[in-house]
Amino acid sequence: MPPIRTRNKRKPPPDGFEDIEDTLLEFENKMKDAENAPHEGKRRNEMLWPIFQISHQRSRYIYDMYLKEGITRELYDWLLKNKYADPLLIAKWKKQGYEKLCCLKCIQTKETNFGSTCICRVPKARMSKETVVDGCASSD
Amino acid sequence: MSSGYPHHGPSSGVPPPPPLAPGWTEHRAPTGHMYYYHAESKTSTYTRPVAPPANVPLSQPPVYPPAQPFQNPNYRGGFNYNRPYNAQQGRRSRHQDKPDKPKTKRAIPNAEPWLFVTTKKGNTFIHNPETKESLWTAPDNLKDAIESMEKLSLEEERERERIRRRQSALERQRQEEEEALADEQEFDEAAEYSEQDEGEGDETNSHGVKRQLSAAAEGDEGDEEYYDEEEDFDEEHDLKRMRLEEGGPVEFTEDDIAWQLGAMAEDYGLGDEDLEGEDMAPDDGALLFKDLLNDLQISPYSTWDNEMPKMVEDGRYTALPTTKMRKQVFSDWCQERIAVLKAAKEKEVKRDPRIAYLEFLELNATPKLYWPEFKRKYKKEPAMKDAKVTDKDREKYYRDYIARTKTSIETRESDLRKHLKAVKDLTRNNSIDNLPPSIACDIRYIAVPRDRRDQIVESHIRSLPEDAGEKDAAKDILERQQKALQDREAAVRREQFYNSKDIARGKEALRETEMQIKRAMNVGREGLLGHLDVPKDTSEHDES
Repeated sequence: MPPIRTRNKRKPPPDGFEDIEDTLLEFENKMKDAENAPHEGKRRNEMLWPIFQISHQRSRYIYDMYLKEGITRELYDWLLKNKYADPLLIAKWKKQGYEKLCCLKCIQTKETNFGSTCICRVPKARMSKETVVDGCASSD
Repeated sequence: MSSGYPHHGPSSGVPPPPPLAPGWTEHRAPTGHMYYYHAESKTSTYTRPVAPPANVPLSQPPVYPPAQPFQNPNYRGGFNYNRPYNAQQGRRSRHQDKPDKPKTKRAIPNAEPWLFVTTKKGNTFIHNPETKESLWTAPDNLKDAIESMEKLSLEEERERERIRRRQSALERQRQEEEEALADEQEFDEAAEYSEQDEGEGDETNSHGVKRQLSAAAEGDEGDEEYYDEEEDFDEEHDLKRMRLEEGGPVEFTEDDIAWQLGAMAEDYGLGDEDLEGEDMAPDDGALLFKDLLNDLQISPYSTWDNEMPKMVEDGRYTALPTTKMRKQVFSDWCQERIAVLKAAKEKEVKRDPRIAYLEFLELNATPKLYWPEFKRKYKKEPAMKDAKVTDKDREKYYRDYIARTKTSIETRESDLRKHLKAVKDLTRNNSIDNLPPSIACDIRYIAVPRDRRDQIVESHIRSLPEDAGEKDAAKDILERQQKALQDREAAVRREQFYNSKDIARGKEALRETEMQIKRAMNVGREGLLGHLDVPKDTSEHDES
């Protein structure tokens, strides 16, 4: 059996972690709540929405902190390595047109029937007025 | 504030003020009326009590100044009211100073050279640009043409008015708020006045005034009435025109109220610029918002969603109009604040993380608890959670500490003394507060009770040789310099040695080639055969 690495036994995180620790803990708690929320009456995909949302928020928070130089490169890498943020999603944000992308699933065309992206990738200007969607197109 | 209309305050008919009778004071009601109050007899009146009559009789009813028909071309029935109204308005001294200027010019149909001019202050006249002739009252032959033109423009005017109303609705609300604040004192006085007015209610005129006063007050305070008025604007408009023709008392319209608000603003020293200045420049809003963030001690390491509930309550939250802008400013502020905090942290002297834990041990560790028990009991303490100290270290320190506390104080002290002697980085410059980690983080130091160990350490520091550190430093520098010099010299010598060797080698090679050439040139009687026949010699030579 591999040794259990508890928080106290691990190597300490890089400097500056204590600054963002509280916010990360809050995200962690939110995520736990979302995971344990009842699923009755929800569709299969619907259950995942809050998970994606919180994951997005946390990744955005860490990326923003890194851009604002609130955390060092070292700590940023450590956070990515320890899965506090989604590096693949952040990598997309660096691409033009994907600055606000909400989740990787939204641009995964293989999973849809007509090979299209999610509706939230449609710019608001292109959408009919009746459709109310919180889009993540960068033009919105 | 609409400036396109002439606003006739009720007191516009009052001539330039003669001095007041003694004991009387002049006030303005919230509606903009001027009234006069006698403190001793507690009477108030609209009519100006002038000095010669000396005493205004109590029974005299307040007289509403003669209602003036509106002078706006849209409102009036004829053309002979177009006198500039400035002369009548003693109060609006500020506006009096500014010359009236034409605002709009319209050609009068069927009367070609003549223009119908409306001034900024709402006066109208006709002008003939060819003869440069201007007339306040139109000649009879032009009257019909002007009237037909106005009927058309009335519709346009209404439409425009409606649009403008909608635009200025916000501004007006804000002004009302301001006015409500400013009016509080005067409102008291007005209330006083209206109470007294009750007694003199038999006069119909006073009734009329009172009704208007209260109507205006309601209009000032309640927005609903305002909007009602707006909605049936057209209806009211027609009614008003009828009443004007009858010459009855004038109802307060929005324009009047607006004008009164303007007058109040003037009284409080607010110009048009101030009122317009309510919409702050975006920079000011941002600054104000940043002020809010600083005051509430918002964490720059947090998210907008977390911090937002803290600041919603504050009035400065609305300094910026949209949440998007607020978020932007919040983000900027975070960046600035993080930079500041970072700089401060760099300046701060770094403290060994173990010291905090050892201090915590000193306070809480007891021989009664085993390490797992101690750990469980205090697992929420920050000193126990600090990731900079490993759990292994913590345990080691705890066990060591407990083992030492079980020994006698004398042995602990002697241990500390021994340790102090062994330590080399302690100098005379150190004090109790800034001991090197080799002492401060040592369990022998912590194990001795605080007062005792302070004494011991202090006496030890005093016993250290004076300025040893400084002398050492000076000597160090000298030594370093000498060593550097020696090193350099050695390097130079080495270089020279190699160079000389190189030169010698080169000379040797040169000499050898010269010898070879000489031998080659040395051709005897045998000629070149001599070289061939005597291979022994050359081979011997080559080998050498």
